[in-house]
Amino acid sequence: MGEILGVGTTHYPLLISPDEDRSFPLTRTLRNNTNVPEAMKIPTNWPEAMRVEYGEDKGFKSAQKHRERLLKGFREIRTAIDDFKPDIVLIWGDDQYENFKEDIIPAFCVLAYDQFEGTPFTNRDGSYRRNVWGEPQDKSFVYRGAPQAGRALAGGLIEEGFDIAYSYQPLHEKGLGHAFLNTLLYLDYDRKGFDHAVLPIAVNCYGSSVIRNRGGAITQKVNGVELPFDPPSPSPKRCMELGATTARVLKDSQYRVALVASSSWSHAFLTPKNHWLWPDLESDRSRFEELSDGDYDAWKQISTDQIEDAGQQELLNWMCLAGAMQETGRKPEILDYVETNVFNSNKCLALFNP
Amino acid sequence: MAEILGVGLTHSPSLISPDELKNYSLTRALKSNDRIPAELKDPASWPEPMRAEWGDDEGYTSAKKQRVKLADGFRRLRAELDAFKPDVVLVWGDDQYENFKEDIIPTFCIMAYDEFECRPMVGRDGGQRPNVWDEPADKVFRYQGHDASRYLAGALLEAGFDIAYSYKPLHQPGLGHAFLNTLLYLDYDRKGFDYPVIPFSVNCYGRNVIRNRGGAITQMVNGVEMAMDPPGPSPKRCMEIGAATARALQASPWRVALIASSSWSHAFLTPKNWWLYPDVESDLARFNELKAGNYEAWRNIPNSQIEDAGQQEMLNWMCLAGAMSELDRKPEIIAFLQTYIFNSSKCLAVMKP
Repeated sequence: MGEILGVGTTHYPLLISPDEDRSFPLTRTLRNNTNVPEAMKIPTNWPEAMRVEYGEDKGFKSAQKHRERLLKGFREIRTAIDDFKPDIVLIWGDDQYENFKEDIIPAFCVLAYDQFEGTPFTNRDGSYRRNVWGEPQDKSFVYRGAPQAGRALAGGLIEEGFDIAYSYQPLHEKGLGHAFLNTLLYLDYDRKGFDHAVLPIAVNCYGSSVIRNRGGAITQKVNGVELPFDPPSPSPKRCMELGATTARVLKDSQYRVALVASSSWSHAFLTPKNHWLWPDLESDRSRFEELSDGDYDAWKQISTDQIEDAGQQELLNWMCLAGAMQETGRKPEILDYVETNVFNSNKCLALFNP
Repeated sequence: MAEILGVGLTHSPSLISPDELKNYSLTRALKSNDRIPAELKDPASWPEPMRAEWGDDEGYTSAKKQRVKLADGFRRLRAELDAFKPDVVLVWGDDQYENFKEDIIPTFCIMAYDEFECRPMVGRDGGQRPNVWDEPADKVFRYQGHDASRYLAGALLEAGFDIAYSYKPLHQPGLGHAFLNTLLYLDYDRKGFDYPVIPFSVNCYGRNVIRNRGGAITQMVNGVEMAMDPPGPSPKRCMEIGAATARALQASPWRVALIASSSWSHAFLTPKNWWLYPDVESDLARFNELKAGNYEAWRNIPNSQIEDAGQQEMLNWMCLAGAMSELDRKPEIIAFLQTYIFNSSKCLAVMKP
């Protein structure tokens, strides 16, 4: 008889970079995004709370506080996972035009590899990625996979009418995409090692812009013409159904599984109505209240249009978890809910204990 | 104004190969499948109709007869297609470890390429593939894609089908053989095929797609047989996606031909017949259900029965059956060719508005 622990977390990339580098998405947007009106690049035109958070030091002190709160949550989650003694840590994460590109975009994909090997401190251009751990460019992280459980879960989902894809080895992204890899790096922020077997499930969160915008904010052009929209992501309802069925299949298995949803919520760079500068705080707050109340049904009704309007594409990972938690009758224990205007996205850290 | 034409056919590779080469899967099995006991390789031990079909020329005369019937059937299907004047032709076909391999096996994938550039007359070894048209290895067949592919992918995702889509080839340049052979045979007389195409890939090979690489032989890793892969979609799910496809296209501006492309039970997928001949009885049962328009009889067939009968590729037809059930269409059978020696029974059918 399987047992399940629910975990909600973030893979916010900026926890990797030293705060003094100020390589926040906001800094990049101000520099590179030509769609942002010039007036809106001036802090005096920002919301009051954002100006305060940005402060006199372009967000440096706030970034330190942001990090402290997140680390506290990550350490609590790590303890809960270790105490639970999982056979498998399953992670729902998005693929931001990393492993999946024009030659195939699956709605869902179970990555049933034997193992995962990643070098997170080598940038795409081959350069060194500065990191808070001072770890070298060639430092390699190896994680055990869960190939048998992955095959069994994929089979169980297909038999239940989910048309998922599966894979045994990387396609374009060697190792793991950042949603999965960052999660594992942060769950081992103190570098004591992470030996739990990992089962990543890719969710196509970026939907109608996954290829069009390559999982970012900028629409690609071919011969001067913008690429058309891609087919949509799976709906919140479908993600919740997938999560519920995943929980049922695993409950019938012999495994103890930590089900981890990894993503921040509304993303500034996905929120055109806020000029890509700050996230949709109001919408996130509504989602947070619903989550705190265990009102999962409220999430099931949300349309993909609403998700895109709020820049909450990555919340689809949490929708999978929400479906699983509804199925198992779990209420969340909120570890922290960190709101921000400056640091791209609001972050929720939560546990759903048996 | 949307309209749909249903078509069922085969992509049996042996139609490409000149009959005198006797390049059937049976001749290959007799030569290279070590699991077949020697006494069963002796025609004297075969079922009576199989021996008759084999004759005294290793099936050559029978192959010629089968070709005449199939080529004629394809001409009739092409005439129906031309009369229907489709804006686009959708083909449900399987991927036999061609475009999709260890780095991803999608259950369903809509290939929304701009175009498909294919070189079918290149052999596996990169040389000339002998073919009945005497076409050279460098002959290129080019087919156009269509915007309806993105539309359909979107509509299916919105309806709760977790399909994959793609804009360009992964491992297989152009098109896998299920799709390409279909197009080659629909233009058997080489007058050209200008209809845009939506290939819709179905993971028919399921638990053996990687394990057996879409064939009969299980792969070994360090001397140990590979584990089973996750299953393919069930007949029920294929029928559901077929029905949803029909609904989405009926709400579109296009005239679409929906084509299921595959033979039925395959000898090389039927262990109970020692991979020598297909499950003729099971195919006959399916055929009688189809002829009667009794699509519902197909809906609850379990995957285990499909695999036992070597009918994995029939999942393509299940998609078509779901669409035709949705549209309440009865089939007009163009041909049903049963065979023991040519790997698989073949059905050609049309379901007209």
